Amino acid sequence: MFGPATITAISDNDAAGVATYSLAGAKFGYSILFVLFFVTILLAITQEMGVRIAVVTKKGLGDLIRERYGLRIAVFVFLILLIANMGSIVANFAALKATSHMFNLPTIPFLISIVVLSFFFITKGNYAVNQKIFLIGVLLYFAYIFSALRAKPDWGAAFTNLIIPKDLHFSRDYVFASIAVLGTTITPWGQFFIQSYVNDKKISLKSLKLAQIETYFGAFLTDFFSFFMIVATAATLFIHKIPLVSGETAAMAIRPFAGEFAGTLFGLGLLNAGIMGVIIISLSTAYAFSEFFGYEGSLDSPFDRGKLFYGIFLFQMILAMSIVMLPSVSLFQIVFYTQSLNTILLPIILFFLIRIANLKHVMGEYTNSKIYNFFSIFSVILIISATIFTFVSAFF
Amino acid sequence: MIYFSEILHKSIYTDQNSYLGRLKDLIFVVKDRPYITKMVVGREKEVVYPLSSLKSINGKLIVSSDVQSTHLDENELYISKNLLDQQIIDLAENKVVRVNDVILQNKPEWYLSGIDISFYGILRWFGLEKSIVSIMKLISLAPVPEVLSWVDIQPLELARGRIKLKLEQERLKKLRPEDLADYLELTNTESIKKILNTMDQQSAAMVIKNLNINYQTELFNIFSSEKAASVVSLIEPDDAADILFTLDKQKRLEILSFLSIEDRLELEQLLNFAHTPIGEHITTEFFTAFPNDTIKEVMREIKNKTSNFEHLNYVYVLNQNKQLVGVCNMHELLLNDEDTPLYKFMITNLVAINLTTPEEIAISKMLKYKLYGLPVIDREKHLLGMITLDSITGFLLEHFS
Repeated sequence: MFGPATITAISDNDAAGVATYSLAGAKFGYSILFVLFFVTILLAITQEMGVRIAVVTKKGLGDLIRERYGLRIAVFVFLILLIANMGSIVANFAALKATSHMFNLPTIPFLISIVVLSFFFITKGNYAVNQKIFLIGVLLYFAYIFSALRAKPDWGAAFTNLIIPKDLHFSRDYVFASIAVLGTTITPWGQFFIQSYVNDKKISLKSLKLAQIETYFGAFLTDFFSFFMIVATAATLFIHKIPLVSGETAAMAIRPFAGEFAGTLFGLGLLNAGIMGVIIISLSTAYAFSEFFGYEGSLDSPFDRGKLFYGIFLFQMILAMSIVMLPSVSLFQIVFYTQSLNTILLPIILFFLIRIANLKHVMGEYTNSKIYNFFSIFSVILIISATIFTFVSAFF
Repeated sequence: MIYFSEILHKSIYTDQNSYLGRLKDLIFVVKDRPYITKMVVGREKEVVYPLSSLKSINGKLIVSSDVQSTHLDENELYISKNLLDQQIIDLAENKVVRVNDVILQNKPEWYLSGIDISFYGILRWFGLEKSIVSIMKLISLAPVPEVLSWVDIQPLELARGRIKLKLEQERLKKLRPEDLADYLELTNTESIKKILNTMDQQSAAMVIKNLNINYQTELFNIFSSEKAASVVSLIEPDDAADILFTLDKQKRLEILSFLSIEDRLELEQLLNFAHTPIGEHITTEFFTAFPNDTIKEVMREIKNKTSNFEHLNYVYVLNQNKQLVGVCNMHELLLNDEDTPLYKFMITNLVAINLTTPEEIAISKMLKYKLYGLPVIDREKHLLGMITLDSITGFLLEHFS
């Protein structure tokens, strides 16, 4: 039973997520923790709808969009998703490149072996094997807890800020950072992935309750780890007023304050997050492609029947890796523009999600209730206005 | 023929030129021949009209002004709602592909002839089919048009909301040759050849033996004479003679020359008995094309394939099921724009004869309608060959002198 929702939620803390949390923690200290509370609820609501739709309809988001909205919209959504996901994979490879420098590993062989190993496990292993590997990945996020403990934070301040934003100085930058935290946690690929992955596990309607509970747990666990990421940088960089230029270098930056070991753990955490991100995001595109265009796409498919599925998975990883290895490419710009695409795509995806969760003839007794709808529409409007705000202000 | 994507959302007017709405969907009966019966027209709300009121499709759809609304009957389904964009699965429930477009035929009546599952089907919705295909052809990467014929789909499953294929390739080989032949006749020669290639010689010959004569002829024309001879030696002489008789003389002699002496003598004897009223006039030297081929493509094919023909006056147009649906003459081919597909201007009320048509009637038809050639078809409207003005000149001379 356990697996899909937790894995999806945790991979929302991919390397880009870790980088965002590190930056936010370093800049705003414990006060940014206040945002986490809301992000957790929003993540739980959107992911729960995805899980429920998947278990009830036995279809992925791609299947439903194609069948309900036709080929033109399906192709349009897929192309944006493909490009946006490519950007996210590039961001994760960039973080992996940074960790390779930190641990003095030769970058090119290191990245290539990640691609080769991922492809090997995804194609050779079935669903069960891969889920075990992903769950090990989830466990490795505990590195952040140890790393935060080593930083000797002010736990009182941390917990108080979670509920009452005592140290909050409301500013434009704070709003930006909050939205960035939201945007890195609730993603279009996350919505696609959770439905596909739940379907791939063939969860029956009887187990829906358990799946829903797992979704809430997954959302909690994700931000539980995020909490420690922020605490680790808040207790070191924020307290000592050390500016952090890029999130990937946080592991190096906290060393002088939290010690060598904490820095190493933080770096290992980033490495793990990067690998999870690369694999899960590539898989989400591959799943989406199979759903949109009707090809066999499952971790249980043998290679010859799932050629397109596995091919798209590999293609994205190789392309992203090559982009990261090119010395003359500005990764910052690629990531910036592709993340803008995510911002455009997210409202569209959430719109489809709510529409489908409200179709009585599709969802039957599992249709969104009035109260739930009020709550979910409110959340979605909040997410959408937040993302539009960032998107618009990015150009001014 | 026409694609569903080409008419969906087209405006609909009555012949009195009053606006009814846009075409939202079409309704078909789930039967062996899935006739299109009704159309859904949407303006403020959706109304169902019988398709019999449709008068013409020419940019917009025109229906007769006395059209009365109707409703959905039992065992009727919607094209857009129940077929388009849906998942196609094979017997083992594996996902195969989705329905990208639906192919409609309007001869003799409107029916659903097949499902487009190719890349073309996707491009068509964006109006990019022509441009991208021509670019891909430039780099010789043209995607294969992939079409599922209606007969490949299980109608019962469709009524249950699933598009399930009847057979998968792996399972085909385990069938008895008679059954396999029946199944293969529902596909086309290309796929028959592909499947035969995967089988051993003996079983392939058994399947060929059980195919109907049109397919046998087509296959033998594709095979090298040596390969054809090896098939002939594996099947009964009378079956072999039936096939050889439909081939042109040169091919027949070539195949015979590869056989052992006993086999050859037996077959030659059998061939002498075989006889039909107009058999001696029939030539298999004809050229065929598909309705959506453009003039440009047809011209190129003519250059490639007909260099050894004595004459070429007509292009015969076949549908997906290899049935004769139209004809174009050379003059029309030259007059029209080179990007025009044949179905836009082909003549569809054909004059044709069959193997049992007496010589005199066939010839008088040619003279009456002033034709240079007459297609010979079988009961299923498959083109067997043609008789040309050339081939009957001997007969005419005899009668006049």
